[in-house]
Amino acid sequence: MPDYKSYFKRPAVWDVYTLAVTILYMLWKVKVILARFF
Amino acid sequence: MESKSYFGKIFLRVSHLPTILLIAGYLSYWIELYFIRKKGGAASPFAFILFAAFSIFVLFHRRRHIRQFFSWFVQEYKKQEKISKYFLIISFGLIIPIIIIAFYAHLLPPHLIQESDALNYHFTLPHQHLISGSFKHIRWSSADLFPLPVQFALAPYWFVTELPNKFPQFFFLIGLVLVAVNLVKQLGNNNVFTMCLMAFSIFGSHFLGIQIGTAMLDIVLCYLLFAALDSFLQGDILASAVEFTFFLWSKSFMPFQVFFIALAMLLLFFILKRAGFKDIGWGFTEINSQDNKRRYLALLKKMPVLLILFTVLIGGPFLIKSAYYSGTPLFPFMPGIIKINKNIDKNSDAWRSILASSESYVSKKDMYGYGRSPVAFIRHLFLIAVPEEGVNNRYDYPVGLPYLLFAGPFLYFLFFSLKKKQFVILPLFIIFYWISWWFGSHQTRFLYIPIFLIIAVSLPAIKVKSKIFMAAIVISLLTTGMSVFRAHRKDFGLLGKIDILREKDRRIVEMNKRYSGIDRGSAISLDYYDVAYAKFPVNVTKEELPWILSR
Repeated sequence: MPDYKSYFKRPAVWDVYTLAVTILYMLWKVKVILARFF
Repeated sequence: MESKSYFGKIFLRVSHLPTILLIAGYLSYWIELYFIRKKGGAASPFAFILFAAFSIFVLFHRRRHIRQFFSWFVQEYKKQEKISKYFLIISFGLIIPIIIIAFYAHLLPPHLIQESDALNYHFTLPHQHLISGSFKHIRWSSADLFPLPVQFALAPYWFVTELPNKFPQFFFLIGLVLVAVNLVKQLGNNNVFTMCLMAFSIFGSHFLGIQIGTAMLDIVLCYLLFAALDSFLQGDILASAVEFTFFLWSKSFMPFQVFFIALAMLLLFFILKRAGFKDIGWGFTEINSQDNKRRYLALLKKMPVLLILFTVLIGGPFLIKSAYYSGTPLFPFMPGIIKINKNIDKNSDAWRSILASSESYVSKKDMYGYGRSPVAFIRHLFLIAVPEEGVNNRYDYPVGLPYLLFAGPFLYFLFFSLKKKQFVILPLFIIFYWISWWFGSHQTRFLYIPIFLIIAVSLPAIKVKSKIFMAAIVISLLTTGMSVFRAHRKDFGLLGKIDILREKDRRIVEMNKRYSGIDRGSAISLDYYDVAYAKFPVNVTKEELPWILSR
């Protein structure tokens, strides 16, 4: 069984990544929607 | 791998019913074509009755398992923390409207702009063959030289109704979710939360939402590979071979892609073995025991014989036809490479048209994306996920948020596994699949398989239940749900109304009345080729490359 503990001891890393890509994705979508009006 | 008593019973599983639908449809098509021969290209209910009877039998046979599954699900749900329970309720609450809209949209005849390929050839060609009562090459259509076993297998269901329907595709959407969940379970996680996450991630993927409710076949193809994998992992080599054969001959480029991936993986396996890689596993979380390795190897050895046998039955007729008329079994690649038809006149207009059509198809692969430079490669890893203009991007349409959420952990796990000298089969398969995509057509719909596999192999390795992650999944379900609603809202209330059809198709429906008595051998000349609704033989007169050939 592989040992992934070293990564999951720091779930905050996972959270930061998730938050970053979600914000980036949503901002990008908003940018594209706004571009339709301006 | 489950107990031995399970072997050979994939066909009796609810999740693999779409495979039965395909097999029953494929057998029925030939019976319809040569024996039943209904007028106007209509299909008899033979395939439908066969499939319905088998489905009822499977549901009855599996009734105890289905009951057990639901009671296990409820028990597991009760064990979840409060936040997870809320997450599951909200997510199911968002999925249900998507499924209802999908169900409704699949009840309608094909008419959407995003269904143009379905109307161009998926539906039109099997229908024209049924109308003329012959498998003979339709000389005006270059797409008739493509391998079309999946289209032929679905045709007996599509044309059983007065207007063509796309309802079979709905079964494949549900089938895809079920086999993907099975796969997650087999890759080492029997956790209800993780299995639900797999389903949510599929429904939350924008590029799947785009095809939900349409007559397109990319979800069908994705189902086939996932189902073949699921069958193989459960030891049912027969089901796996059938499913894989349908997948293999679904597109002309598929055999090349599969050959490249198989060769690359084999080479890498021997290189890494020499470099000291000893452990081997399907995903990130399990390593195969010696027993399992031997069992899988024994199954793998049986695969070539079954693949050859099923290729003869499923791919054979199409490959021979293409080889005879275009000199290649896999049109549009390398026309003229095989010389089995001495009647081909290389100086004729027809041959010039075949060559020009082939060139035009092949050059289409460069129509999407930003080229193949190293910078374009780095950029595409993000740009495929997001829209760029309106709802589309240069890769046709955006993949969506779940891909971004799982891409990071996937790459991390892959790095970690290689560092530990573990040969991880599916993650490496994903990498090579992606590389082959990079050198082909940069359309996101061809990434269903690697992206859903990224999610399936990463999920069992993620043990942390993150609130932020749950929120991100809810956001992805919300945005995809809105897209699905927007895409189909104009069709609400139009069930059973002829107004829903394109004007061109409404004209064809009118023409059907006029030409209903026409002889099979005759044909009505038209200057357009997306004639899925025609119940009379059509002859398209005007060359329009790459689709329409000159004769």
